[in-house]
Amino acid sequence: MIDIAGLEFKRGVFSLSVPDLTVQKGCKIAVIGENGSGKSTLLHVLTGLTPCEGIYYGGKELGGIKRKERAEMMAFMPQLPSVVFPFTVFEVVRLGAYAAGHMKNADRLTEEILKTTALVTLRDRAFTELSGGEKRRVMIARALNQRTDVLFLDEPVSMLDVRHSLEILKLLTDSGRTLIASMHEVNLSVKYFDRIWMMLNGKLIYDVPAGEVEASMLSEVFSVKADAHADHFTFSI
Amino acid sequence: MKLLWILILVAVSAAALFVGSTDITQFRTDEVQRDILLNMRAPRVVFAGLTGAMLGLSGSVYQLVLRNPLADSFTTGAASSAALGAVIAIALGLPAHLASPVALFTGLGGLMLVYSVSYRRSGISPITMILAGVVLNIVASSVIGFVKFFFEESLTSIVFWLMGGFYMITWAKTAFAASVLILCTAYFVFRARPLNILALDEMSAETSGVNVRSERMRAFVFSTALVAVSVSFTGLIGFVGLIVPHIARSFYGSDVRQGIFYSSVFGALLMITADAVARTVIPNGAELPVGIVTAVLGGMFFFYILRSRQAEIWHD
Repeated sequence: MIDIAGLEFKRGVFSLSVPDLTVQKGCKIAVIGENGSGKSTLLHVLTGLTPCEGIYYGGKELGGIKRKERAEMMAFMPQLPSVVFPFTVFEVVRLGAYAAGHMKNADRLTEEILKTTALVTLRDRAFTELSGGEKRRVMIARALNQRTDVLFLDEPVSMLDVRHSLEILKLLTDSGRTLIASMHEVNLSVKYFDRIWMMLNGKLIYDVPAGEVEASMLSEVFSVKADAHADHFTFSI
Repeated sequence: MKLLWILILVAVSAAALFVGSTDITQFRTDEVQRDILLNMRAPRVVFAGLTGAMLGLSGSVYQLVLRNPLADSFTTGAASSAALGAVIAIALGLPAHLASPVALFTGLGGLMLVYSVSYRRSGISPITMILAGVVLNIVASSVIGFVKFFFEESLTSIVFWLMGGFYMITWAKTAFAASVLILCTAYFVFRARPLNILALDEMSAETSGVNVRSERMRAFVFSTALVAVSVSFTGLIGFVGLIVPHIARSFYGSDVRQGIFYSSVFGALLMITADAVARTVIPNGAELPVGIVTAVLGGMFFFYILRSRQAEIWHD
């Protein structure tokens, strides 16, 4: 369980503000909003990459949890993940197991994740030679291989084709883990996630169940005209 | 496979013992020849191997922790600032055993200067790092020239410091270099897990439980210690740490544990061979500074990497 209480953060002219709330175990949350609205900053704050007060994991303040312990609790995939040198896909995904301290059985765990993420065919390819979408899938697999209860993903399906987007979202949302991901695709967010957090100018202005998202909220957040249909939204200027 | 490479290293070392200005055959040696073999050539060949291993290993670690395929002790300016420290220590008449610690101190100072110039919130800029390293090299080499000008008597030739060479190598120096290499190798093997994770971008590495900043700093200290010991006994020998890790990676992958072993062994092989070439390429017993041999090879390799890894290097 993640508790947020009095979260205020400032960097230069940008400020982040989140109302007090609780993220239940296993809850899947999509964070949506315009570019620069603070989605990535929110994820950085929640993972401890950007130190900030007011975040509690299982009652313990995030700042007081050691790095190693954090790596066993949560995994994170940044917006632009990278690997230097031609590590193979297997080696990159194995780094996830190393992060969680699984040294002896790291190879076996990695083979398992490669199967569940359908990356077996890329197993021995150099990461540096993969396409943008393939790299993203590998980095998601690396985060999954950390086998943490909580997953933070910054735009997990950007650069992925339709089939891989759906497969990855299904895999992530079926995993039973607590998931907080920044997303650009509103309709996919509503379909695959339990709750939607909407960001505007650094403020989390709506925290609603996915089924209760209204067109007016989306209009306000994205400054566009939003129309609600039976099972999706459309947007126009 | 590792055993095979060790056997190749032993064979190349043995062959290098019989290469030089004095003709020594394997089975018929007089006392002078035996003295040359055991007290001059043997420590020299072993020291060349150790130096190659130290530079190869340090290059492998620099490239990983700086996330830059062009990084090595030479291109980061660490070697030239370490050489400057050793030159100043000797010029000031400090005891010989203090040359390496002073070289470590100034080498780390130079490296930190280059690192701080090239570090940004988004990570280390590879191009800024190389440019800063080149400038530091020029400045340090000029100051070495200046110090040499003032302390003509106490310093060996400027050619030694700027182009390197294995002169006056003793078993005592060899034992010291071997101890430092063993200590640093043990550290890198012990830290292989977090070092591997440093191959990831900084955010992924941090959330994988690695304190990127302190892991990087400790790796700097140990890899610069290797450079400092090498430089204070052999002067500047460039590019070994640039070439060798790439060869090791192309054969045995990017995992740090493989890199530690193969960068060391390939570095040793390259340096023993380069030294044998330097000893024999000029007729009449004259020696070429070994740094010339490695610089010619390394310079060409640098261009190759610059061309083949453009996307990676220019990503900033």
